[in-house]
Amino acid sequence: MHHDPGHDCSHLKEALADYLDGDLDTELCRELREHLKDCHPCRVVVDSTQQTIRFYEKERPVRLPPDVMRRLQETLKARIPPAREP
Amino acid sequence: MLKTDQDALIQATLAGDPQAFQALIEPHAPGVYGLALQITRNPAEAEEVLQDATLTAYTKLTTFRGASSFKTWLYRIATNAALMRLRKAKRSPESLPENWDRPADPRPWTGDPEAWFAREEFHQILSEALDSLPEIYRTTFWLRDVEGLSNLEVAEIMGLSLPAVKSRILRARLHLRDQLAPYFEERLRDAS
Ligand SMILES: [Zn+2]
Repeated sequence: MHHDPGHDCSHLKEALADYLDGDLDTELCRELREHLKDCHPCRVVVDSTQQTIRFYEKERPVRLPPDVMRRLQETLKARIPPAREP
Repeated sequence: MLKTDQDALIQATLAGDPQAFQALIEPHAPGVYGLALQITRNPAEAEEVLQDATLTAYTKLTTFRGASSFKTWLYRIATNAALMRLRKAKRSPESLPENWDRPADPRPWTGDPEAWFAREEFHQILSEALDSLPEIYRTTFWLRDVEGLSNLEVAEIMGLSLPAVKSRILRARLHLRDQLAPYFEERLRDAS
């Protein structure tokens, strides 16, 4: 039996969040997995979204400038006394 | 940092050792600064938030009960500090449309990931895509996928429900995918 691919695609979007999180055990995720075997455009989007996630995991876009760390340490020294007041 | 080391540093701080507090905070400083930068989009503001949040954490450390992780607790403080600094009682209502439509005919990204990472503009491309997200999506995505926190931890830090977090993360991921697609699809053409 041939499903209307457009219908399946939008219906399965609901499973996408769980699928990308690796929660593959729900009924809908199993359907999505089956669907991905046959639907090339959905597979491309899922693959490239997983690649997008890997990009950001690997490439930490924010680094702490050494000056910022140094000034934080100075603030802590100035604002936090060596012993707490009772 | 091991939880036991962390607990020891918390106890030492409470006992009056300022160096223990510095050792406790330092591993989290890049994360707090990054989080603040996602919310404020301004390096000077982000630095102020880092300082505010650190001092608040010190003052409030006696109230930390360990029900959540120290990191989650600290990030929650930083989020509040950042929002306060923006003089916003609430977050910007700006949002992505709920309904995302899959591109009709997406092209695969079939280049070599190592070669992508080596591209000089790679960092810039990722930053610009992230910048194009409304704040709440950017912050949620950043905590989840850059910082690697769980959905539950992100919900706690952001003060959102779990379904709201999951929905925002999905929308952010798909939006970023759409933003990045032209660059990484083009590798196909470059290579051919
Ligand atoms: Zn499909």
